[in-house]
Amino acid sequence: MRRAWLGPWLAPVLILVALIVQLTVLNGLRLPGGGVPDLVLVLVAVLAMTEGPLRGMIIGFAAGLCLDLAPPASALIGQYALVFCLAGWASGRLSGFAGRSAVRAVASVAVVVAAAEALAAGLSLVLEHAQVPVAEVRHVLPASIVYDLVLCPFVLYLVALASALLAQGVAGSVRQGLLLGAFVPERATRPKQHRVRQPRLAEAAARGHDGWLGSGGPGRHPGAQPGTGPRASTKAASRLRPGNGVAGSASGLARHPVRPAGTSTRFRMSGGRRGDGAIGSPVGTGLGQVWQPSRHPGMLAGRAFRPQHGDLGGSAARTRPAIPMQSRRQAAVRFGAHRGDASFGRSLGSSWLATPGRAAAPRLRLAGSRSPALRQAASGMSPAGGQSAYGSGSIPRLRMGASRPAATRGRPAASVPRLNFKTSQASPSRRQAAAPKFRRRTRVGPSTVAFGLVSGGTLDQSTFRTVRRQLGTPRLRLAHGRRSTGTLGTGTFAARPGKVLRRPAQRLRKQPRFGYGRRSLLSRLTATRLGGRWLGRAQVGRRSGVYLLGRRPGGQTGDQE
Amino acid sequence: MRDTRRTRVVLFVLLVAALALIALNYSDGNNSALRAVRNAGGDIFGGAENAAGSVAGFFSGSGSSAQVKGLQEQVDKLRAELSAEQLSKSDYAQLRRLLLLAGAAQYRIVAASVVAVGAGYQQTVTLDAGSDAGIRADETVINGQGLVGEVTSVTASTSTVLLASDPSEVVGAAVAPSGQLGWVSGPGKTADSSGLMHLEMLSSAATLKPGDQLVTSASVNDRPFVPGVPIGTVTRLIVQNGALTESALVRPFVDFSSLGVVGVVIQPPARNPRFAALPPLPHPGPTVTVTVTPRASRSPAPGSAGTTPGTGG
Repeated sequence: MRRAWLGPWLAPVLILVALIVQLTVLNGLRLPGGGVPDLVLVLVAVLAMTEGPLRGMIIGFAAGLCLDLAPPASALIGQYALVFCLAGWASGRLSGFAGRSAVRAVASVAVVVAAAEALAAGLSLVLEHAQVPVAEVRHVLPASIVYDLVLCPFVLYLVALASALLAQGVAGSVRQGLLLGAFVPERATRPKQHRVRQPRLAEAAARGHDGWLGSGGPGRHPGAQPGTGPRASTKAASRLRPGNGVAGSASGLARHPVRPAGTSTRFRMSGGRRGDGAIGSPVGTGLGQVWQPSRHPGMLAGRAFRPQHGDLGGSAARTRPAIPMQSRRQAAVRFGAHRGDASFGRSLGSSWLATPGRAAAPRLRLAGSRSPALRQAASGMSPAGGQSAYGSGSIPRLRMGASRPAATRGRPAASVPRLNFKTSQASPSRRQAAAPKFRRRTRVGPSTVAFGLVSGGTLDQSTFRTVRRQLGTPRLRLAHGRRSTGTLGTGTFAARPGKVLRRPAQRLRKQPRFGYGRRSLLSRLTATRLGGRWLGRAQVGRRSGVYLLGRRPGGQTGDQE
Repeated sequence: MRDTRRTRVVLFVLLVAALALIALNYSDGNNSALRAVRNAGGDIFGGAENAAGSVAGFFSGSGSSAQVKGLQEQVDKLRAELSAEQLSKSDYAQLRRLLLLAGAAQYRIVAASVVAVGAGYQQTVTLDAGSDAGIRADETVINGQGLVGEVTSVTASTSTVLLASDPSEVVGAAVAPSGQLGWVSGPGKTADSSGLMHLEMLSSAATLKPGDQLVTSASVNDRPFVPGVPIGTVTRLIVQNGALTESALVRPFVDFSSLGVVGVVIQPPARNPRFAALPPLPHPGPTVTVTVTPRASRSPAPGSAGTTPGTGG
């Protein structure tokens, strides 16, 4: 259920009023069946449904303790606190199920209240065995539950009304939807919300100067055979984009595991934000692996993603031997340090071009660099790692950095474009500018033209300080975003060995993580020693694609169509 | 919605706290910390309940004067005091009857009003007078009709009364004419909901008949029940084959669903009032209309036939 804005005082005031009413009026009623409605319990359940499990259980505990202590005090202090605390927690848990549906909300509250009444009765029977006879419980309990259920919709309505009035009075307008939605006036005007934690992967419209990974753009891929794949298409290319920035979004392909041919795929990566998603393993594989959103929202689909030695963004656990090339798991890139940051799946790029029957060897190639470290990284990722740039023409690759002609021709190292992560300490101003940032209100100087970025998303409002590149050149750009950014790989990408990249001081608290959520020992070790993340601050080479993984502004849904 | 770790931690802490509180109840009934907590709760919520109660304010009246005239003056005085607080006519009537009862049985009482009714399965009410008014725990609570219950706990301004209708409340009773002893337990909220108490005699020699009136017999040190408080009338005998003692259903004098002004007996009478506080029987004989007693073999005594015209056999 959408959290309604209740204000800090509404819940205690309501609880107190309900307590007094319960003790002075309701308990004195003589209703048929012998039971009386428990207004406090119903109110606790409703408030918990509005405010979530944490606050719900606190409210429940407080209300139960008040009921225990209020002068016709029960024989056992803590009895109602226990029951109401559990009721608040359960109701808060069920709020997700309730969503915005009034019927579901009433049903959830009813279930919680009935269970809590039964629990209270059972607790009375057990703890006050001498005082409470079983016959009385059996007689009173059904009637009490029935009266509670009668009370539920009214209390729900009243709480919603109170919250609406409060919000209107305080804020001048209803800030949030009322919790039921049945009487929300602005419900229709509000953009439709995603289902929480439903990952999406949306396609964005192509915009000018969108960079393509490793090549000049669609249609210009030299290795692509004409007519066999999306790159031969001259259409405006679509890109894979994570969806709307809803938490856990953008791990999509829940509904479209197979992308239609004729479009090429682009990946954008930006600074990780909460809610940025992962591009799962079945991206583009076309092999029928369906992303299961019930798994990790921010992680790769399918099998457990574990960055290995040599992987981009990997753990670089040096004791671990390189993975066999034939393993389909290996080529995995993970960007970002946070839960929900983008991750490239293992078979990224091997997509719909690959013959379905063939074990589509996923590749992620970092072509063109003569850096040994880079080559090692590349070889760890691609079965064709030892070869030069192109393995077989039909298998698309994710290429980074180098322009294709340069890579194919095998120029000497000096002239080969590289994927450069260098800090030019010689010119601090340049270095400052080179630090990829993902910011708003950046000075846009003459040298910081914003072309070449994958525009769209919040990038429309922001500029990269560091863009100072020629038009039309694809770039790989690692935006150093808010909090943590996707970084490519480990320190092995440092172009010049011996030059230590400085780690930004202000990001110390955030470490890259490899799992979902928690900070693991592995991530801590790798972050401190090999530290993929802080490389994101370094300048990306002159020739590289620009990756942004961002959220799209506006309320459009991220469904790909 | 998944629980966060924080949620789990808080849930765990709260549950442990609640269980610890419950365990604390069991550890010692007179736990000072627990009592302090109870008193604090009573102070906080009792004030609110007193304000919310229809009739606020307590007063103490002494029923020591036996003269009806003096009692009447007292009632007038109390009424004048309470007029500012809009003592309703029914409350006035209840108060008057209460004082009459207290005067007849020589109880010294503190009058109070019921301001709240307890939740849960125990039948408790809250009075708006507490230890400040001289009320202590284990004292008898009466109203103008008869026995209400006993005080179980007291805070400064409130006191909690366990009603005599609660099934866990057992009251020693004496049958009016004969003084035979038995015990009365409350009906609770059972299915028949007739509100009839259950009387069981102690002695197998004791005999009952419908229409017998019951008063409380003295407890030890007059706590929790002072002697002489009217309880109810025997309405029906329970015929139980093989039972050693007689048992009966008793209709209480007090209507527990509409309690208003009650009095707490803060000082027992100097001597046992016996049956002085019982309401007078309108016609002792004719109330008995059906005689289905084990004494039926003895009942066709010639002397009683004339006074019991309703007797069929």
